[in-house]
Amino acid sequence: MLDFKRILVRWMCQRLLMTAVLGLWPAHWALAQNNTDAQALLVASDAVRNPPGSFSVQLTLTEFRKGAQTNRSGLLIYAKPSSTGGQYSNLVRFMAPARDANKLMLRSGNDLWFYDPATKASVRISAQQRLLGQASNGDVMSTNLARDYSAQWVGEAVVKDGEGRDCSCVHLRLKSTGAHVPYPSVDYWINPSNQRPVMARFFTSEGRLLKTAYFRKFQLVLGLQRPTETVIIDGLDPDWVTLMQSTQLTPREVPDSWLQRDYLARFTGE
Amino acid sequence: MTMGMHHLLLCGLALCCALASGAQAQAIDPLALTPTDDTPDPTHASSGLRLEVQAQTADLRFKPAGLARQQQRGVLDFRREWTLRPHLKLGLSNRLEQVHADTGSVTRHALREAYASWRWGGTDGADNYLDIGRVQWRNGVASGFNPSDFLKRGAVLDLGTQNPQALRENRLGTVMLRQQWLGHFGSLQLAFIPKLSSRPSTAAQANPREPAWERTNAEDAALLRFAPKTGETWTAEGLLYDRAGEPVRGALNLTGAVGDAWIVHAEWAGGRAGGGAARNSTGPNTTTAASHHDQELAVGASWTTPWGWIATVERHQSSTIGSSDAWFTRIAWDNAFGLRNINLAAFARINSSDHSRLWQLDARWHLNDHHSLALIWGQYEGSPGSEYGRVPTRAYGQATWTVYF
Repeated sequence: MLDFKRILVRWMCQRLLMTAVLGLWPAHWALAQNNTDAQALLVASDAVRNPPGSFSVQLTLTEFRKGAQTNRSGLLIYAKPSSTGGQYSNLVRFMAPARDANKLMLRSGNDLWFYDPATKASVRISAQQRLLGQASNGDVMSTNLARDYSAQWVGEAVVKDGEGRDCSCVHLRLKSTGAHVPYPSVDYWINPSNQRPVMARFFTSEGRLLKTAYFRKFQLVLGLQRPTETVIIDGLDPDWVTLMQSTQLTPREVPDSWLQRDYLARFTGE
Repeated sequence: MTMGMHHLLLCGLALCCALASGAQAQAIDPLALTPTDDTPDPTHASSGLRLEVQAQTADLRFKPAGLARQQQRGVLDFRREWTLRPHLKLGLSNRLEQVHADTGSVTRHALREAYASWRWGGTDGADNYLDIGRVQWRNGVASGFNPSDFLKRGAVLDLGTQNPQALRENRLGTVMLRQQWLGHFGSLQLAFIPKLSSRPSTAAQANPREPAWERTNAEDAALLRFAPKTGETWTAEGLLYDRAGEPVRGALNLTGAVGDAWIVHAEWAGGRAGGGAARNSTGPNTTTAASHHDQELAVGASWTTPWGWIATVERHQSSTIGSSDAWFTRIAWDNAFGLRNINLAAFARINSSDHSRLWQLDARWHLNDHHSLALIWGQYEGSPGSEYGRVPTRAYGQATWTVYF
């Protein structure tokens, strides 16, 4: 009698376990599948923002405070996917205002240098120091997010896009996979029908909002509809808005020698 | 109506205004903002020309001959490079000053740079460059004191400020023939510096319109610098400097990125001491006489704070005769108090031995894309006979309006 009871209890436990496993399996499988899709969607969205290979792009940044235009600056960015992993190394040339003309900023991973032609000196700067300046806004354009972040599927949502229209998007949460990434986490909304980036929110490791970006004014550039304007809203001060307009996106060779500190004094742009 | 009522009405009015402005701020749609059409094209190339108008006042402990209490300067500053052909570049950097002081007026001309640069190679990923002319070549990774910046001796111009960045910006270049190899291995540079004048360096002050070769090319010299390509975290470079009549000196520079907010640096130079001239015009007060080994070291760190300030602390040590020990600290805050275009900075040099010090406050306001206003206040403090206490100037103030063309 005791044996029968023991067998019955064991059989019930096995049934319960099987039910639990079989019941949860589709959920686990679906989540993993969604995250795989999320990463693929992020890769596709990166390809919309950035052309394949090396390129240069001219950015005009217009700053607004409380709705009034306060500043305008110009940057010329040379970007090249690094041989180790595909993240971009960037050389940023300041074009305007006149007091900043021809200053350079080099980012090669965690190796960041600022060059001032007036002093003929290259000064090493921290990743955080770079974020204080306008050049960091260029990162929004020339960064392979899929290289440094793992994407998690959050869900689907209807958000206002950069033109103020409702857009059905996939909401992804990006977590940085390595050190020295300027934004440890990003909330990203992508239109799944055309892989266009719609909106992004960049956060610190403590979860503090650094900036919100809207990608808009998609135009046919180098064979794809790509965003030519990005509206960046400061996370701390929402009245501080930067409009970034990109022009002359051009595929071009960026020699390795350009992307080292000792070249900065030699740089002429061609 | 009582005073209390007045205050109440004023408070109410202020509250209404605040609410109205708040409502206006809330009404702003960031996606609807567009640039105004009357702003200049930000991609327009700079001419390289700027105009400075400057007024300076000084409080003197005592008044040596030639040192002014009040002076005004008008400065035309020009620096530009031209690419004549894909492989040929010309550069010119010049500063013309008209100084009116209570000691008299003088016109100063500083030819900082005039050079031609030729590039060749590049097919195998390596570029070669040949420079000839007066070239400004600054070395070192420290902020306040650069033992490895061998070419700074005699090159610094009198600007009425001790700000290290301003001194670096306005120093004379050295006439040289320099070749640089730049490739996957890193960078190797070798320069030959000819002796161009036998006059004493004070001769330049006698005629401030001359190129002042004696300040930068008083002896034959050679300078070698090697900066290997390293990883992302650490960088290193080594230098050798051989100047006629002096022992060869070597130098080593290191930088490292520690996390996202810290940069550490170390700069060392050393060799057999010799000659009689002070090697460092902006660092600890050191002179060499008898032949022995000496070394100079600057070690420091720079921290980008979460509030947007950049704080730098450096310690300088020199084991030359009359060994010295000094601290340098600097805090810079761009867009201070959240105000776009207002930059504040302060630095101090402190002699650890006699505790004398120099400090300077620097405020800059970029009025618009082409106009800036800078205000400087600095003080030399210390007991009589100390490094900074014996400087004739006790305090100085300076206002500079700069126009960028």
